[in-house]
Parts: sequence; structure tokens; C-alpha cells
Amino acid sequence: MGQDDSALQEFIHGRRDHLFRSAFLLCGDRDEADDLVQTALLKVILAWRRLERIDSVEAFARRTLVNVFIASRRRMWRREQPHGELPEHAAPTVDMEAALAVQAALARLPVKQRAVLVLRFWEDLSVEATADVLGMRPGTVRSHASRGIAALRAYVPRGIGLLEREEA
Amino acid sequence: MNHADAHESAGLTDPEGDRDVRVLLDVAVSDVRRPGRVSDGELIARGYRMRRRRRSAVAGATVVAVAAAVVGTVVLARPGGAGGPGGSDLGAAAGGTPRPAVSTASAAPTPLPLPAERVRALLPAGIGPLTKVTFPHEPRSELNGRYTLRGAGAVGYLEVDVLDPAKDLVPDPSAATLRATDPCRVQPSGSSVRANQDCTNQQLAGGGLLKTWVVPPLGGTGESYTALLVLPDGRSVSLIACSGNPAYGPLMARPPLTRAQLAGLVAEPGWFGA
Repeated sequence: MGQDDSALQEFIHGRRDHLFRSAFLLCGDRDEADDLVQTALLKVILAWRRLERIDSVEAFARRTLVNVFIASRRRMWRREQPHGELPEHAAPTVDMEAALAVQAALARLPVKQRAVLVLRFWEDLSVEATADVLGMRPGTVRSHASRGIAALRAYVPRGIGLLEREEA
Repeated sequence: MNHADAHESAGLTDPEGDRDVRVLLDVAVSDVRRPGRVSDGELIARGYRMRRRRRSAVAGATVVAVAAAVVGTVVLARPGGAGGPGGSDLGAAAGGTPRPAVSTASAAPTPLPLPAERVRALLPAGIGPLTKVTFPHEPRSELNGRYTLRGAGAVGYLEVDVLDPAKDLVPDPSAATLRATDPCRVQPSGSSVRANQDCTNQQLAGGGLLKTWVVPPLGGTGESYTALLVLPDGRSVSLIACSGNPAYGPLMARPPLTRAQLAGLVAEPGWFGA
């Protein structure tokens, strides 16, 4: 096995779970998130040798994941979110119920607002980096973030204090 | 447990207000585990197979191009060949109008018809004229894209999305999601979006699954009929017939194809042609 293969395996092994969680935040469904990540990683594999020379693999994988997600939502009904398909929990705990509440709130956001929130606040990207990934202007990213947070505030009413800073 | 407890658990009532959206997102994924359907090794092996297939496709295309160039050159250069020394024009020899020597390059592979022509050939008679206007998705099939359809001074469109996992060189999420999701069980992602309507779900002989539904008007875009066929081997065809968008011109009174026409059209084998 070549050095290329080792590095590729190491990347996939090390980043797949993180990408899966990002994908889950984007789409809200475990199986679909797994599909999205597989698709993104297959594209990483196909581009691997070029990536090693010219780009950050991490950035490419992140960008690809978001693009695959947005493209999937352009198809047919998938501009909308399935409902009633949140992960099932046999015995919800406090954390589980909180998780479900946030997942439900995220699922109600338009696709690009959700993508902005995930990139800005889960991936910790700057406004400029988020704009670069999504092919938007920074002002548009700020606008999406502001609206997304406002919507989260509406859907998660007790979060008002928590969400005030970014909206300012 | 009520929602207030859940919010408190999520840190939503933190008096310091120093937790941010990241906390919410952390909470949302705190209990989510990745399904173990495909191991890292299997995924990498699949990626390598795709990479080999893509290289083979590129190499094959190169060989065809070189072969075509060589054949064309030989035809032009051979003693009896058109354009060659002492040669006669093939058209003239046949008694027809003399043609330029370059026409003998017809020895090269005949190009496939344009995508719009191939789609037009699949449509019911009387539909059209038809023009391809965009590639809304990655071009998995060269037929994929949006085609405007003109009639009675108005412009509707047909959107084609063909997926063939055996041929596609760019990976795509599995057809399992298409098969499993009910288009009428959707929740609008914005207040202006209305849910899909009149969904049908028909199991076909041979194992195919045909879904149809109506997408209500959204913004300036008119009403759409959609048909989706998912075959047992994972191939799928999705067709959307829409009454139009102001960007293309006046909207049609209704989509350019009926639901019955669309359901028949989506089952045409020609979508998976060469």
C-alpha cells in the first residue's frame, strides 16, 4: 500500500465521524447523513492526488459535503424536509429531548440558512470562509446567519438570551 | 419532561448568555451515532473502483478520438480516396453534387444527437418546440437538465434527472432515499412553501416503483407535475413538468404534460440510452 493510500485512509478514518455530524445537522436524518458523507468522501478519493498538491483536503471535503447537500435539496421535493422522521429514542432523557427540540428547529430552517449556521457555528468558520464555501458574499452569509438565528429563536423560544449576541 | 426542562438542559437559559449556537448544535448531535452500514475500507475500495472506471473511460475516449483521427487521415491520403492523389470525390463518383473533401471525415464515429433532440424524440407528439436551458445538477446523464417547451404563446418546462449508478462517474446519494421517502410527507422549509399534493405510489411489475405528485406554485414558478421511477437496480428517472417561470416568458395555464403523459414518459427506456 502506498503512502498516498495510507494518508487517505487516515483522513477518512479520522474525519468521517465529524463529517457525519455536520451532515446530520444539515439534513436531520442519520441514513441520509451517512449517504451524504459517503458521497463527499468518494469525491475526496477521486480527487485525492490533486488535493494533496493544491488544496486542503479538509476544506475540500467540507465544501463538497455542503454542496452535495444543497444539490440534493434542489431535487424534486427535497427542497423541503421530511418530517416525522427524527431519530427514535426508546426512553428520552433530558439531553435527548433537548437534542430533538434543536433538531426539529433546525429542520424548519431553509437549506441555506441551515448550511450557514452549521458552517459558522459548528465548523467554526469565519464569515468569509463560510461565504467562500457557499459561493455567497459575506453580507449574504451574515444575513442568512441573522435570519437563521432569529428563526431558531422563534422555534426554540427559551433560547432568546443565548442567541442575542449574533443577531446584534 | 416538558420543553422548559429540555431547554434548560440545552443551556438555553444560561444567565451568562455566553453560550452560542455551537452549544445548540452540540446538543443536537450529542446522541447521534453513524450507521455502520459501510466500513471505511469498503468505502475506499468503492472509491478506487470508481477512479479506475473513470480513468478507463477517459482512456477509452482518447483511443476513440485518436482512432477517428487516424481513420480520417488514411481515407484522405489513400490513392483512391477523396482528396488523395488521383482520387475522385465520392459524391461526384456517385453522380451527385461534388462535395468538399473534408466531408469524407464521415469515417469518424457519428456524433450522438443533441440532448434536446433525444428528449424531444421521447416526448408525445405535438409537444414542443423544446430547448435545453440549464444544467441544474451535475451532468450525470447528458440528458439531465431543464428544457423549455413553448406553446400557445407561453413557456413551460420539463426537468429531467436521470440516475444510473452503474454508469455514473460522479457518486450520488443512493436511490434508497428516493424509494423510501413519501413526497407528501414533507414539511415546508419556509412559510411560503406549500406541501406537495396528490401523491401516488405504485409498485410496478418487475419491481419498479412509480411515484407521482403535484408541486403547488412557489413564488413566480407555476404548478408542477412530477413523476419519479425508481428501478430495482438503483437506476431512477425523475421528470418535472412545470407550467413555467417568468424568467422564460408567460406561464402556461397548466404544465405542458399531463400527469398520465408524465407517468408514461418516465418509464421510457430511452432515458438510459447511450
